[in-house]
Amino acid sequence: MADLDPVIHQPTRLRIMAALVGLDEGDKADFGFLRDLLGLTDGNLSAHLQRLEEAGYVQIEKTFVGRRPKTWVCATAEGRAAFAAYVDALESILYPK
Amino acid sequence: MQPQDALDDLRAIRQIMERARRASDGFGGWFMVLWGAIWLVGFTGTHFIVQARLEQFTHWLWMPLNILGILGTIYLGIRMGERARRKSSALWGPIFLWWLALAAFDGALIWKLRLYTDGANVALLIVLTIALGYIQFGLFIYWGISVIGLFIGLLALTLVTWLPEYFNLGVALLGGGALIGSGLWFIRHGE
Repeated sequence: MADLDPVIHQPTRLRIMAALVGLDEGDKADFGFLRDLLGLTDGNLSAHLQRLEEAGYVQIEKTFVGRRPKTWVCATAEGRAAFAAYVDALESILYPK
Repeated sequence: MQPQDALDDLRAIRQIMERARRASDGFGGWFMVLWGAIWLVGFTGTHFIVQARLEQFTHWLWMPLNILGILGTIYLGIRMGERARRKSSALWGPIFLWWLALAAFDGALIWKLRLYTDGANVALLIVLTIALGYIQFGLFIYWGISVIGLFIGLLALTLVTWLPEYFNLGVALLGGGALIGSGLWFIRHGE
């Protein structure tokens, strides 16, 4: 059986990566958009994003719109590659060679 | 991991990827609902104004509706940008300029060919131009929008040829209705 990346294997992080990879390369998602899309709390999403950022799978950009803080998140090239490898690993479980 | 778990994960992944892609564009559906509602009110009102032979008051109906539409479009554009910064958003600039060019083209035709003397001709030209705009817009964004544009264009030509007295009402109910219906469909399937 293929090895499954433990960072992505966690169900919430898998969903976060799927949402980010679902956008085109270079596209950024707003923190609130991700939270609402995945039905997560702010704290939960923050914690998992931090873990993904430490792994180099996502890039987090904090900006201000007026006085309001705004957080943008995007999947890095490394994150996309890791996600693609994870999907390949799942498919190899389904269709062993 | 068991094959069934892997299959469930793959299905969930595909579903989330699709939802993310559509949800980031979700406000596109609201643009159609907004302009569909404006068409519904505007063309229905125009039908009854024309029936009452009060054509000179048509612009008093359309002016506030168009201002409402422009303000609503700006508001939705800002809200859309708050959700996701997409590279494809770079297309919005050229698309906006294309709509502006079409409006300028219509303005020139209306002025040069003196179409303003006949409100029905102006309405037909604008509806056909908007239909063309949707067809072109769909080629860059999503083919379904082109189909809506094609429907509106054919509807306008059909009505003006065989049922000219019901042109405004037909465009209001079927054209505006198609925009509202398809906008709601995009919203429902995108979020």
